[in-house]
Amino acid sequence: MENTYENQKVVDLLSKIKNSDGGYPSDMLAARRQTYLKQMANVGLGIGIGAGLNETLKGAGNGATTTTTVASKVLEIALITAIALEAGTAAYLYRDKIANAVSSYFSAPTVHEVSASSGDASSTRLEISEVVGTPSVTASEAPSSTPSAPPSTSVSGGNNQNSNTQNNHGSGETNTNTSVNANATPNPNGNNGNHYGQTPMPLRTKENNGGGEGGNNGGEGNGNNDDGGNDNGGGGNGNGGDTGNNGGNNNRP
Amino acid sequence: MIKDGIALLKAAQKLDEEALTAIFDEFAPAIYKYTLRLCHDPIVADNIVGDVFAQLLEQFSAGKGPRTNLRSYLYQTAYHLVVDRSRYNQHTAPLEIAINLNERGQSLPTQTQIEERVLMEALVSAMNSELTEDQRHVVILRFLEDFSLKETAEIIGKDVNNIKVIQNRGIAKLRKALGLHLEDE
Repeated sequence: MENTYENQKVVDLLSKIKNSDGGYPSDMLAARRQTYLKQMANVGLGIGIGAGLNETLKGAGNGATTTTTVASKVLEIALITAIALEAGTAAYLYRDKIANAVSSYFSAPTVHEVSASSGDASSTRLEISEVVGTPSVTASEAPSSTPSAPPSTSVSGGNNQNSNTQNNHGSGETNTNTSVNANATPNPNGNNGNHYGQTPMPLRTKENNGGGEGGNNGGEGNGNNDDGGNDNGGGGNGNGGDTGNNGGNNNRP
Repeated sequence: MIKDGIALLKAAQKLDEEALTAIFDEFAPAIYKYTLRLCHDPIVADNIVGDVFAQLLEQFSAGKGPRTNLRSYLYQTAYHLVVDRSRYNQHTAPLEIAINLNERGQSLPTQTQIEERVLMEALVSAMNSELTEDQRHVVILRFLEDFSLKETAEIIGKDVNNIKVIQNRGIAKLRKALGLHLEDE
């Protein structure tokens, strides 16, 4: 009980201290208040900027589709322009390398196919109708040559040109096997093939009378190549056969 | 003029300048007194007041801050700032500075006033020398700042029953320290 009274005395003294304590000095309080107001203004400015940005974003999200479309177009054009400028700058900076690359691409060695015109169908000439490029064919071309210029081709050998003409006397049937292989052409040894006008005349035998001549004629007619030659030979065979038969008949006892 | 405490707090949360200014005008002197009792240095107390309200602005701008009891929040902030400062800066300035500031320029005291002043100085001395840190905080908050047990518990961060125990022990120490003076009376 006594302690409670004494405690209450202490509490009363504490309340007196509370009332007697000094307050905030006016000059310090005014300076602190000014500082606080400045801080408050700074915070308010930051909040204002943030609120403005939020409002702008909200407005754009709600209904300003026109503004968004225009902005996207402008952005797209700006991006394309930037890309074009960058590509042009890169091309200008590396123009030498680009020119070298282009020139090397167009100057690559090519093999041109050469085909001889059939020309006269009745011609019996054998011609090289096709030249096939093989690894043995080396093509060299000066870098300054235009792509349309024919490359110089050197045939190293191995070109085979087979032209077999079989004359079947009497029947007048001639098989001409012409296979041209530019890679395997053997040394002709003076024989450049059986060409028209250079084919040696077959020897005439004494036993062939009439019919033999006809066969020869047919043989000459079959010296042509391909279809046209066969047609002419057929005509020749017919004539010769007739002649031979006639002669044979005449020689019969 | 915003008079209602809750309306004032809500307006301050929206960074209303009038509300924020009203809060400062209402609580800055009290926070200064409380801080001065704890740290015994007017300059430090003034700086702590500035820090308390700067933190309040930061909290409001971040969408945080007090929701219900603004006064307890301000005292709690001041308490933590004082404790943090006392850990790094040991001030031994006498608490009597606060008392003497108010009495400058006054006329000569009477005998009763002198006796009362002696008793109060003894009490303040006992608070500074006899009480522990927690006891001093609790006594100041309970009897000089008129906080309830619950509010004091929230500010210091302890249980209400613990605050009761600390308060009783502190009062007992002060009573013993002032026993001689009471007997003299």
